[in-house]
Amino acid sequence: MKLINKIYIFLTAMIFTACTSSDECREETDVYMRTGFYTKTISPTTNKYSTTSLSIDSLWVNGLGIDSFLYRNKKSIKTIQVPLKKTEMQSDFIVRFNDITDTISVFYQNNDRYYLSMECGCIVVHKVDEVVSTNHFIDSISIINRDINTADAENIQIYHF
Amino acid sequence: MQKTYKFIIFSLLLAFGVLSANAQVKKISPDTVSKPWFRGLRLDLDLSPLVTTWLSNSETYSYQAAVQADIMHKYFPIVEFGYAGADRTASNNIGFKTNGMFGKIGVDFSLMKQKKDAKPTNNLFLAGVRLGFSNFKYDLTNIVITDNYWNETTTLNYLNEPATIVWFEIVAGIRVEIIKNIYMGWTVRNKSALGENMIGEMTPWYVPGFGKNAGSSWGVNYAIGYMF
Repeated sequence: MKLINKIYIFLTAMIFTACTSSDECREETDVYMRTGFYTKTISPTTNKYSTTSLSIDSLWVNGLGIDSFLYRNKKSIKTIQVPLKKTEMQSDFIVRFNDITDTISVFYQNNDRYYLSMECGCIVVHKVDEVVSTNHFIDSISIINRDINTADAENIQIYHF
Repeated sequence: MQKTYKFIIFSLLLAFGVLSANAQVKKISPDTVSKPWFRGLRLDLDLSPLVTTWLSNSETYSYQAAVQADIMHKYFPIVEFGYAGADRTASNNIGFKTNGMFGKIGVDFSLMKQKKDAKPTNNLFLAGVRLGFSNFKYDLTNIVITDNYWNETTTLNYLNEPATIVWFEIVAGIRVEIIKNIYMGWTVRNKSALGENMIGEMTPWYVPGFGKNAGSSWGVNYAIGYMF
């Protein structure tokens, strides 16, 4: 019976030393479409194209219809990350490369059931269908990763030859 | 978390200590009197909700009963069943609500060996396994999604989301016959959910019978029972 008595005492003590759980959201909740700028150069020896990262001297980015800038005269920038609208399926951005302006339109589907936790709730993630743009500075756009979520992965590549 | 680790280590030491102590008693006493293989049914009622509901600030509750058979005083097949639920509002005002039935089936093994000259006892020191199951629905409400750049705000409510959860338990416990045919005792259980959730998949914060839906959880029952 001595062992049983010890177990009783242990279990009773255990109930009153229950852990407290944190009620704060500690997970990444920001969802951005991550974009890189690239250029293609032809090798004189192999005569093949190679892709290299492109640094933009001065970049301005804002959402169509929004006065505030996501990037305002940002110098020597190679990548940007922009938020997409969570309640619509199209987001448009005005992008000014130095003195040349293009408009980029992103078409996508929203998933608002991407659950993180009770503390963080849900976030809206996107799946890109298509990206189109005007072609003043931009030559072409490639979709690399259609899933836009909290992952730090490049989604689209913008090419300037 | 440190308390949890201490508890796990202490529990493992306790379990190994009991098993090793038990293993040392290897002498088998010859049965001189033949006894029936079926020794009766015990109905247990869990009293722990009286404390655990209070400890959880009434956010969760779980009521449980069990029917356990005594086979040769060595094997104890058991069916556990109950009703549990949760109603919680997190600090970000997200609400979670559920309730539902759950069931478990399993078997316990007696860890006590009767010493040759000892007085016969009906007290039990048991260890065993369970397979738990709950099919239920839950509400996840008031999830506010905001976007400061596009000036968007939307509130999401997910009602009657269906869920089926299966889990496995390792249990250990004692039952002491306090007066004739009336037993009381503890059961400690470690629960592990079977199957993994996909990243981003909606999952219930609380599962009836399992508890808070982490990958594993601990539970304690304090039961009073009657042996028929």
